[in-house]
Amino acid sequence: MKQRSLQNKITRMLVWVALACFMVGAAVCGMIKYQEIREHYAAIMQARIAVARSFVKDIVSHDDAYVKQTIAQLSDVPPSKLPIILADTIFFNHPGETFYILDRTGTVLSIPEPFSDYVGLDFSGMVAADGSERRVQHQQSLLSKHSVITIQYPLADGMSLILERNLENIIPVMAHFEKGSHFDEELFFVLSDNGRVVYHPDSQLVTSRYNLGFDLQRQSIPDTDKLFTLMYQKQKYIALSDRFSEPDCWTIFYCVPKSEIITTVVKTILLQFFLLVSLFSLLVIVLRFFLNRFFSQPIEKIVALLDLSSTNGNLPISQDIAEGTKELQTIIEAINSRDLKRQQAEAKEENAYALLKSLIDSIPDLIFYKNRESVYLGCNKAFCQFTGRSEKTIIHHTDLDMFPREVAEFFRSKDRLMFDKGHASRNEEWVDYPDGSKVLLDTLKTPFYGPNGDMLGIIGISRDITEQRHTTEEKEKLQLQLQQVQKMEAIGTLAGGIAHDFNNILSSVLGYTELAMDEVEKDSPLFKQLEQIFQAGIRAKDLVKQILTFSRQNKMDRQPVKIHLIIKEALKLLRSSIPATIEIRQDIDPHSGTLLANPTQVHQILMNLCTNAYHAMRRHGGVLSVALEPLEIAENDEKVRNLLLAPGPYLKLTVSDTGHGMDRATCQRIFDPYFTTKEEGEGSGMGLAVVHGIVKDYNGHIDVYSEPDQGTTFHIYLPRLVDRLAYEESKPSTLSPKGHERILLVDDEKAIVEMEKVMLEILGYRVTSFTDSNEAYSFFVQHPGNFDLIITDMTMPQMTGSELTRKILAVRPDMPIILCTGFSELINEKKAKELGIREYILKPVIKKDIAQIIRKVLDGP
Amino acid sequence: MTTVVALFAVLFSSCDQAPEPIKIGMAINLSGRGGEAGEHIRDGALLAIDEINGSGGIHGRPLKLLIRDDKNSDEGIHEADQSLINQGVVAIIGHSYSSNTVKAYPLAMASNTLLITGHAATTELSGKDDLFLRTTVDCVLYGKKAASLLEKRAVSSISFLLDMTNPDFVVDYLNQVKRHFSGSITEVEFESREQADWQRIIDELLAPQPQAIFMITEASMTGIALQKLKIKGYSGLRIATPWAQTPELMRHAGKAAEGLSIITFINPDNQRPQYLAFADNMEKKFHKQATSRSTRAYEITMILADALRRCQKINSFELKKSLLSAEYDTLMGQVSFDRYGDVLRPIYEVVVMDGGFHHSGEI
Repeated sequence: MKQRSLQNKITRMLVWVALACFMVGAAVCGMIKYQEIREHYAAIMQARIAVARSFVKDIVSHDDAYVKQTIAQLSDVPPSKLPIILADTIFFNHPGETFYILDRTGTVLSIPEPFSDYVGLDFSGMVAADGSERRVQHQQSLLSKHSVITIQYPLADGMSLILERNLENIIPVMAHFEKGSHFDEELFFVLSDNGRVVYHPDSQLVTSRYNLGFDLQRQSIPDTDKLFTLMYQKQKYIALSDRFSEPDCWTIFYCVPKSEIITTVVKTILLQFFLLVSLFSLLVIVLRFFLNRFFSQPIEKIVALLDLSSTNGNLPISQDIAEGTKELQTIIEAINSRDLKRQQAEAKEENAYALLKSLIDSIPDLIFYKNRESVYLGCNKAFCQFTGRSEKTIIHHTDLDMFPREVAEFFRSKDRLMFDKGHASRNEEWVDYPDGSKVLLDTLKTPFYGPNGDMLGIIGISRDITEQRHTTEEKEKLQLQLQQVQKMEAIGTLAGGIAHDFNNILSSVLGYTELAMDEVEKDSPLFKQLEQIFQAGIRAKDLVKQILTFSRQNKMDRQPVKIHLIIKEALKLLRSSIPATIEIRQDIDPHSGTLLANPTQVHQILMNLCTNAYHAMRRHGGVLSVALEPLEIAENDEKVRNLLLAPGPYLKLTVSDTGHGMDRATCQRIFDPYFTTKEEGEGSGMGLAVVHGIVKDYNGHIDVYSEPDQGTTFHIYLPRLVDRLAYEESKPSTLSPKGHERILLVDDEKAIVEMEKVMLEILGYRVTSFTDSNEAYSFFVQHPGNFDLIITDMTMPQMTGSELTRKILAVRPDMPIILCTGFSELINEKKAKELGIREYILKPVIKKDIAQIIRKVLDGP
Repeated sequence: MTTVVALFAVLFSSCDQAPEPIKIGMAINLSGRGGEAGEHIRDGALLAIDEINGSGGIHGRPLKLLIRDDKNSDEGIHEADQSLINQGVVAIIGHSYSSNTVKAYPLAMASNTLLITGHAATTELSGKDDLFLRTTVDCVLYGKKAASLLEKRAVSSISFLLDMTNPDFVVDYLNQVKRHFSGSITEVEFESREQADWQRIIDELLAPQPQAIFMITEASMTGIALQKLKIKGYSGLRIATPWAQTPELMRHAGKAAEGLSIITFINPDNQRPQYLAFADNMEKKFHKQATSRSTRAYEITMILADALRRCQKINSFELKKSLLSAEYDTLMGQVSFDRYGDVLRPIYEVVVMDGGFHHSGEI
């Protein structure tokens, strides 16, 4: 629909209304006027026709009274003489007229000259049958050949006087009448009963007795004014007719061309139309002025301001525009109020949208929304970053425009799935970022609905769960590690307990064996047998020691060690002991630094790992790689974040082989004690368990990576010692030094006390032994100066070794004390030294060890 | 309401562009002696025109009949024909007397206007390849049939009353009878336009005591003659022509017309449906009985319309060509023109009985 201005519409409306009113008014006025004019015409025509009728009647019958009077006067005159007498009167001398007298049979009795030959003829066919009545006949006269009417007058004895009146004589009279016509082209004529013309302005129709009635067959029905229309000679007339009673059944017609009336009507109506047009035009102009002034112009101003507001923001509309019109003022107030509310609402909405947008943009997840055709409607920044496009270039596009076809079809298939289901769907998908990174997205697609509940589209939220997936996997790994540690701890605890008792047993076995060996000849078979027992005891001791090492309960002395020297030495040893099919590659950084460690344990670590590597490659050969490098681990260091290492300097020892590798299940068990994949007799299953124990004891970390047929790599991280003196290797003494000092020996195991007492006495010492610690303390308190050294067990039922130590030192602070124990979780080397214990020795004690330690304590600085 | 409709109809009606009518002229005697007979011709033609136009005219064009009164005078004939020719009529129906037609003939032919009549029986116009046609038989046939009737009635002497206002018909008719009649013939002439000397006429007619009196006169004069003969007590055979075959004969002759024989080709007891319908319409619309003249006028107008419908172009030559090319089944029976525009039709004896014309068999 075409839009028009209010003013234009009002103008058009006014014009149309005015036009409609004008048309209706004009029609009504025209109708009324037409009716008035028609009635006026009818009145005139009726008056005219009355006059005309009187004329016709007068012409036809003007002599009637005289004829009757004459007939009455001549009643006694014989019929044969009547013509002569009547011929002398003026009433029978009109041109073309004549008369005759008939007897009762219609035979001519008398007739003027020159028709006397007709006397005696039968004229009954030319007159009315009943001669007693005055009748009129319309015909061509046999006598005069004119169109005549015959008027029949009864005479005495059944005779009749017949007058022939020439109708042509009517014409001049009526023509005179018609000169006084009221209307142009008016038509006046008279027809006889059979429609033939009695009078007509066209005299030929009179003389030829034209049957005009035939022409007038198509007449309308007369209206209330007795007016009717008729067509005559192709012209339409408004006509009025009157039927004569005398002459019999004549009809007089008075016709006025309809165009005459119409012209009059049109002239009148046109004048009225002009007045109406002027009136309505004036009305329209006035109405338009007032409507413009008080309605359309204020409205247009309001609209203009509204248009301006739409471009320049909402501007308040002045009340002055209303021109004092209350309703417009109300509208303006309403608009201003609405605009204000809308502004507030828009601001609120904008804020809300901005907040929502910020919120969406702040979410690292990818957020997008599409319509039902999977065309993007919007997204957040993360999604823009993901696609590498701006939001503007995403909106109105589809996945097909932005992603490889395969990926796009995948996304769209998920969209369709959600649309089909009608509820949220979730899936994980690996996608490639434009920067080449590959991420795992967890995508949730949820439908969104319009106010009427129709599903409008889809909201998608994709979360990058790559890190989460890694974390989960690492968590699972750590969990396994934790379980491993806990398992190790449990095994260690168990092993420690066993080792304590086992060491006590071994102490007796080894001690007494040594004592027995001292008693027999070295070449005797008994000595050899005792030596076998002693060697078996030593193996048993080593085994217990390994168990304690694994369980980190065998605290060996640590000292700053240049680890690269140990490794190089160990590799030299290995090179000579493994086949040449195995290549040894070493990447040892000589400046790797120092480690606070026990050199034996370091050696043990390397040897155990390399031995395993050799076993893995011994069939097909391969490469054994050993690398050492310093490493600095920072806070949250990405490279080692899963290793649970404290920040600081480290040494990283890497041992890898190209052997058969291991599966995951095997990897999870390699640090278990007694777990081995080697053939029976090839390994004890303690190698890696010992390595693991040493590393953990050093607060380090061991990591393994292996896959079947891909080889195995061990990474060992050990805390590096900074600014310490280099380790100086010293060779252990094999001698059992002797002395003569006084020793107080305390141990709750009687057999051990006896064995140790003998052993110490063999070494030259003077020994006072107790199996009850309380008794030992009491004795010492009584004789504090009688002893140069105290050797005590740790775990004793009455008083522990530590308690005894504390009490003795309270009495004699300079008293050297050696703690000798199989195993005790209550004390360790460090704690023992804090208590003032000079040395710490683990059971089973062998003579050489105890002899050296005693000398170390007694001879030490 | 009617007024409103009428007002708007007038105000908003568009100008009718009615098809141009095809004009046909009619020139007959309406006001001269025997003018009442002309009324019948006019009325019959008007009825035909009304029916033709009522059924769509000539291919949508109305047929317009222009009627002129020849007043049975030379001047009237010329004025009437000239007026019609000036109006551009394609044909003139006329005239009602042979002599008038013969007088009109030169002007019509000169203006290439087809002249057709149902009344001019004169042989003067027979056998001519011209624009003159007629639906009446000519005097040759009339003469032969009249002689045949006379012979049948064993008439050996006959007196002819001859109205010399129409000599071309009267003399021709007489001559044609003479060709076939061997009895004695008495000829009595008079001028119906003038006041007749009936005493002389009757005396001359009866002087040879004829067995039959043959009146070649129009209806009113035939009527007077019949009355005069009756007064004289004449009882012989009275014969008349179709000229007198009109109701005016009865009005003027009264009972004297009883027994009159008319040698005519118009059967008053025509029972053809077309004729009956025609007669009925004449009664309804003109309040008149069908007459031999109105019947002939109706027939000739219908034939013209039929031919006009078949014309490629509307002109007299095409019309003649069309007229000659067909046979017409009219209210009076089958009729066709020969190459000269003449026809041959059955001739009947019609007898006046009980104030009416009645068919008395074909001659």
